[in-house]
Amino acid sequence: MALTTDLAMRTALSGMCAKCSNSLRRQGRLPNGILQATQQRQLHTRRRSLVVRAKSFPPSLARPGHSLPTKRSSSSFAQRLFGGGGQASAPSGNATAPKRVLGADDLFHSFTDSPIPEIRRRAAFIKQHASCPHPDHHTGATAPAHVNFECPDCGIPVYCSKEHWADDYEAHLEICDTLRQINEDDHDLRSGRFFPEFEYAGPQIDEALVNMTSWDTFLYTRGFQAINDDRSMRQATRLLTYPVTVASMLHELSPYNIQKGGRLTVEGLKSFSALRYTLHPPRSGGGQDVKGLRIEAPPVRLFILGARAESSLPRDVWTQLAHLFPEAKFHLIFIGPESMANRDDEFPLPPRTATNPFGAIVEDRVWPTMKISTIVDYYHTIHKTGYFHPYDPYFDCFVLFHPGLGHPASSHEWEETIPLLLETKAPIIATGYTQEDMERDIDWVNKTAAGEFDILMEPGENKFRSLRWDLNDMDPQDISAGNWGIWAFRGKRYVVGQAVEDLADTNHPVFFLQIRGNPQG
Amino acid sequence: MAGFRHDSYHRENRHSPALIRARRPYIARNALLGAGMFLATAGIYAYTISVVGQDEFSDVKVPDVPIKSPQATTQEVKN
Repeated sequence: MALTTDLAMRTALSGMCAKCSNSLRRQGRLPNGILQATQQRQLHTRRRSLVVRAKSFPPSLARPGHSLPTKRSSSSFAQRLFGGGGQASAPSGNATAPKRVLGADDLFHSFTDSPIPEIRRRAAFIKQHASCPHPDHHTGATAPAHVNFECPDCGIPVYCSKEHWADDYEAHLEICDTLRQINEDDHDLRSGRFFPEFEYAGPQIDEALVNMTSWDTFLYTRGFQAINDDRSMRQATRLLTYPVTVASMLHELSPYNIQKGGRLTVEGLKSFSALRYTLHPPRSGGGQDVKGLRIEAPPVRLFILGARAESSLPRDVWTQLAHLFPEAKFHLIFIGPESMANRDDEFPLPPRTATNPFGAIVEDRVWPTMKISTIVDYYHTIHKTGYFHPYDPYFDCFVLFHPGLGHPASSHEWEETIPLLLETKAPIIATGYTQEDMERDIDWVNKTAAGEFDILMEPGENKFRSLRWDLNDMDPQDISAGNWGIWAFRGKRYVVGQAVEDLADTNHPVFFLQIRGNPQG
Repeated sequence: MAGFRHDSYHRENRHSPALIRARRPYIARNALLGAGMFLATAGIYAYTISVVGQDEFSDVKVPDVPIKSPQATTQEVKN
């Protein structure tokens, strides 16, 4: 991070997209690195902390329970700018350089007594909202109580009193280690250190194949910097899981196949082959000049429904998807009532006009081959207007990140949407927090669609899941890993075939049908 | 971006933990293939040397040191 000023500026200016420089300008930091005196923000606390939505949240309460929302503009370029160019800023230099608050061996702190104020606020929130899980509260022996007592081993308030904690110790031991890991990771994220794991790899030539067997082979073959430390792996995969999970399903080198244990079904192979036909087009001899003009397929539309935290991911995380498919164009469409979570600096939404009937925020400079739109609305509303019609299984795919289809708190919101998705016959990739979660989703889809759907991929663990566990502030016992499991489904297609008698009357050779009657030679 | 140099995976001339993790799925098969190739080469060498070493040259008469005369030198040249 010891960049000289001009090197930092040049790096930032050469790499910064228009959107990032716009948002920097809005924050008062001009691209030349000078911090405006009016805007004093604590940079070292602004790291990419992702919001994890708890299933039990009603949408209106979604905001207060989460970890501090970060500004989306903290891309790696912007961070380099803040770190390098900040030293040159004249008026208020002390707020710009990220200060190391916690040492590497000083990461475990009790949440209530944490040196980081944001975590103390979280501890207060947990104590106000979470209930003690001891069985006595359920049987009625004691009234339900909020948690108050922090386990000394993991530092997170988990029980209402020391007696209940000691009593339920065996049950707590199962998650105590993971909770401690979450504790340390959260402190690490806010410790102000330099994060080399957030420096992502750029594009690569398609001859350099990507190995999608596991995170380690993926990061190596994509040319990422070596992530040796487990904690760094956890921090890095927590964000990268979103684009890489989608890529691992759509890419032709996907680790899932139709062999036994490969989890993909034959119907899944059909659906994804259609998409791969667009994503990996055959060579056409095209080039950059006029003679190299070729007809190109329309962009692949990924509809990310029920988007919450995913839509606020830094854009250089989503461009990893574009780098994996160098010959394809993408249009990511985030649709959902909470798709503007953590994106407060982009309000107010654009007005609804004839050309933009849903007031979508369109970012068309994310990457030359990638465009991102965000619409704050339910998908079924938009579908019924036919705005995105026609849907083509060669170009369209729906992605649902932890939709909670079968979860009692959120299933009613999906009731209208899922039948419409099944009608489009485009593949729907869904992820889930646990195996039971996914199976409950499948049962719910079965009930809603009356069996009119095909499973494209069996539910199971996602090879590119987040390795980091996240804490649900409403219930510390509920720890989840982002995109733990993945499965895919699609509406059932019925293919109408021609009657055999018609074919027997023509002179056309029929290769695959058995001709009854007189063959014509 | 052309081929990667993967420098960060070879810090201090050692394999970094990330590299070891990335290569772990292939260790067994690579070791087996390496062992197979080594044994095949060693076998070819052993067979060749053993077969060549079985030749008996006792029936070949090695001529004596030639006498220093013009006739003898021409004979040497012919040989």
